[in-house]
This record gives sequence, structure tokens and C-alpha cells, in this order.
Amino acid sequence: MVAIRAEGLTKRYGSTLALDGLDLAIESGEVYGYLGPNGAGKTTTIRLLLGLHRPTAGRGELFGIDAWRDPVAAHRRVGYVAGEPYLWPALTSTETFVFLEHLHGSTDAAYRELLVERFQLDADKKVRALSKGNRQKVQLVAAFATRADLLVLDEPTSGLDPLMEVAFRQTVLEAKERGQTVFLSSHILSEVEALCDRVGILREGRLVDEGTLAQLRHLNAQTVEITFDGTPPDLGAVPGVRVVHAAGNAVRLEVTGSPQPLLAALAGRPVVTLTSREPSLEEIFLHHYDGSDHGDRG
Amino acid sequence: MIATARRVLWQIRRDRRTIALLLGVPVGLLALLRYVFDSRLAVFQHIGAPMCGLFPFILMFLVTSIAMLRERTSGTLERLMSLPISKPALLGGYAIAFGALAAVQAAIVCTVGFLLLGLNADHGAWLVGLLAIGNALLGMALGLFASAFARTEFQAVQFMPAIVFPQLLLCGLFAPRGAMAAPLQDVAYAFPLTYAFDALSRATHSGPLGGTLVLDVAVVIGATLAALALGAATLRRRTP
Repeated sequence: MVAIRAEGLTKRYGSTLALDGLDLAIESGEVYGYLGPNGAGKTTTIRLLLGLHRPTAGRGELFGIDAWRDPVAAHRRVGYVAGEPYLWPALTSTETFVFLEHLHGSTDAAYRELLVERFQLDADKKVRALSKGNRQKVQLVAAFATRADLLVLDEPTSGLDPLMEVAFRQTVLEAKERGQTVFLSSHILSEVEALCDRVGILREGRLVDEGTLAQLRHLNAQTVEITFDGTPPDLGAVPGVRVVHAAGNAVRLEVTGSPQPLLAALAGRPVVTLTSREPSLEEIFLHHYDGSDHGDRG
Repeated sequence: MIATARRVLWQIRRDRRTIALLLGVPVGLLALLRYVFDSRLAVFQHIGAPMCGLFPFILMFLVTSIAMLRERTSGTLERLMSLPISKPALLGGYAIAFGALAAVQAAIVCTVGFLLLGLNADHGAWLVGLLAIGNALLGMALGLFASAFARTEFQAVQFMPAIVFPQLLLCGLFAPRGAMAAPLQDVAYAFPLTYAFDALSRATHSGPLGGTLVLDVAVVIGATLAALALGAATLRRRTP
């Protein structure tokens, strides 16, 4: 069963083309990472799929239901975490849960209690008194506790501290074990890497790449920065190494796969500093998706 | 629907000022009116008795227009639109919540007015109470619709003098409509509050209730439904 299907889904706001002919087919039970920088059209996609905005062209379906035509039927199957935690300030977290659960019908109260513990939420506090991160937790707990068939999460970890991100990952994996479908919009590469079966990459309203993490090998590349005492050697010919930037005594490399060939090439060279880190999404976009519509799967 | 009603009541319960406005202020104003007309109690009867049924209209208009405006501007309306709830159920939930508040409000005002302040309802205070609830729902429906045309709470409050005051002046509460300039008499019949006032006036004066009361109530209900339908049309999912 296909949980999410989009065919030529397009949205134009005035003169801005926010989403351009999106095609998606996400199977039930899949954890799908929807990766893109801010402004790429991730939230627009979610709004169209949930039937909050009307597509300019094309169609989107949740479990075969067009959410614009029949929002109530579509929303019954969805737990949604919005990009901004807009909630009712005068209600406490518990009251918010009770209200949302009442509308959804299907709720696991015991699991909700567990999540309140896990996310260390003071459920009797009014939403007004909560920080943005805590309001985000209220949204998360509410969405996961519904046990909806599909969880649509729009940048769900924004505002969460690292400890809570761990709790979030655990909760997503539990949902996956139960067979729930998860649509995770994010601009954080490591989060998507850790959780998702398949990844779609969105750039300026277009899906520029899609595949499993193994297929998108370049996402696993490491950025290595080295400074030498003197002129850097030519490392462009080393297997798995791409010179991204070279200036003076410093080079920035992108290393795919094992760093062993690079280490061998550096042996005996006057290396002053060497740092290795995960590339930011911005760097990946710059190097792989800049200007072209096809990903360079190197 | 019940879930929405309960949520709205939960929110209002937390807001002590709104509770005071809804439950305390009408009684206070009525008592004030009683002593303003201390030596002319017939006038107090003429104005005060229908007032018991008009307070809910005025206050529910104010409270709903601001409450709905907050939903629209704070992002919670989009949140609601992403939940499995239909627009009629959402509006029904609001109607139940505000209807229940209006019932409490009307009960308090009518008790004080008819028992303590010596007002007289020839056809029974309960009829005034029922009409008051109907008027509260009319106020709610108009407030909900009006909130679509405001962007800030200040703008929403401005609808009070623009939408509510003219209706109050023309409905016949302060001066009989027969004594108004001829064009105004016609204009008055375009406003739903005129019919609400007529029904209240009939309920508090001696004389047969007759079919006109039914007609007046029907107009008020019709206007409420029309305003709700217009209001529903403004609850668009396509918030740009």
C-alpha cells in the first residue's frame, strides 16, 4: 500500500514557483527522509499533501485519499508535527493531548505517558509558559501517541536539545517497528542518515535526487581540511578524494569511502593540522546539486 | 464537536477577566441602570428587561471575534485544519461552548434582574433566558464572521462600534422605532438585532405572544445560520 503519492504536484504562490512537478511514492511502513535547505519547498509539500493548500497542478494523495477533497478522512490517518509549534497557550499539555486525542480517536494513553516521561515534559504546565523546545515536545508526544498510520514531521527536532534528539530518534524507530510510515522533513543530514530507509533531496522546489542511503553514497562523504608546512601536494589523483578548495597552504577535500588511500598519500608529508567532519547540507548542495538537476552520484 | 466545545471552555476558564466580563459585568450594568432610573422605574422596565437578553449578544460578539482572530493569527487555525475535524463540527463546537456560557450568563442576569431588581417578565423569565441564548449565538456567529476582516485585536474591537452599536441604537431599545425618521425605520428591519429586541420586548410585556414572536425568533435563527455559513466560508484552508 502506498502511504504517500504525489504526481506532478506543483504549487505557485504569485510569481514564486514553490514546488515544481513533484513525484513521490512512499510505501506504507517506510521511513522517508525529505531533505532540503530552508526554502526548498519542504513545508509547501507537506501543506499540499495534507490538503491545507490547494495544488496549482498535479495531485497528492495519502493512502489514496486526496486531502484537499476529503480532509477529514485523510487527516484521520495522519499525526502531524508542524514546523512551528502553534498550540493553544491557555491549555496545559495534558489538555492539549486530550483535545487532540479526542479528535483522532485512536490513541495509546499508556504510550503517551511513556513519551511524556521520555521527553521530560511537565504536562501540567500551561503551553504559554513553555519554551519553544518544550512546545515542540508537546507536538511530538501528541503526534506519536495517536499511533496514526502516517506521521508527517516537519523539521521536528528544531529547538530540541541533543538529549531530546536521542529520545526523538528512539521514538521514530519505535514507530517504524510498529509499521507506521514516517515522512521526516529535515535539513539535518545526520538525523536523516540515522533514521531513514530512503531519502529524497529537494532543491528549489524540485526533487533532484532520491534513493536509499547506499545509493546516495556521496551523502556519506567526509570533509577533510588539511594545512601543510609549505605547498600542499597534489592529492587529486588519490582514489576517493576530490579537491574542493585549495588556497595557500590549506586544502579542503571531500573523501568518500575509506580514508586509507588519503592517509597513505599523506605519509611523510609536512601536515600541520588535519580535521575531518561531516559535510553540511549546504556543502553537499553546493558540490552536488548546484545548478544541475541531476545529482552527481560520485 | 464536544472536544472543541470543551477545549474552548477550558481556554476561557483560564481567563479570569473574560469570565468576569461575561458573568459579572452584565449584572453590574443592570444594577447601575436600575439606580440611574431610580425615579423612573417604568423606563428601567422598558430598557432593562430586554437588556437582560441583549447582553449575551453584545458580549459574545466581542469575545468570539477576538477568540477567532487569535485562532486565525496565531497559527492554531491551520493546526485545526490539519486535524480530522470538519468545519461544521468545529463551528458546532464553538456554538456549544458559547451557548453554554450564554446560558450561565443569562441565568445570572435574569435571576438578578427579575428577582432582585424588580424587573418584570410577563411571559416568564425563562423565555427571556431562552431568547438570550439565541441572541448569544447570533452574536457569536457575527463575531466569527467579522473576525475574518480584522488582522489585529485592535481592529477586531473596532467592529463593536461599527457593527453592534448601530443595531443597538436602531432596534428600538432606547427610543421606539415608530418615533424614528422614516428611512431609519426601514433600515432597522435590515438588522437582525431588531427582531431579537422585538421578541424580548414581547416576552417582557403583557399581551399575547402570537405568531410574531415565532417570526422574530425565526429571523434571528436565520441570521445566525447565515452568519455561520459566511463565517465557515472564511475558514479557508488556503491561508497564504
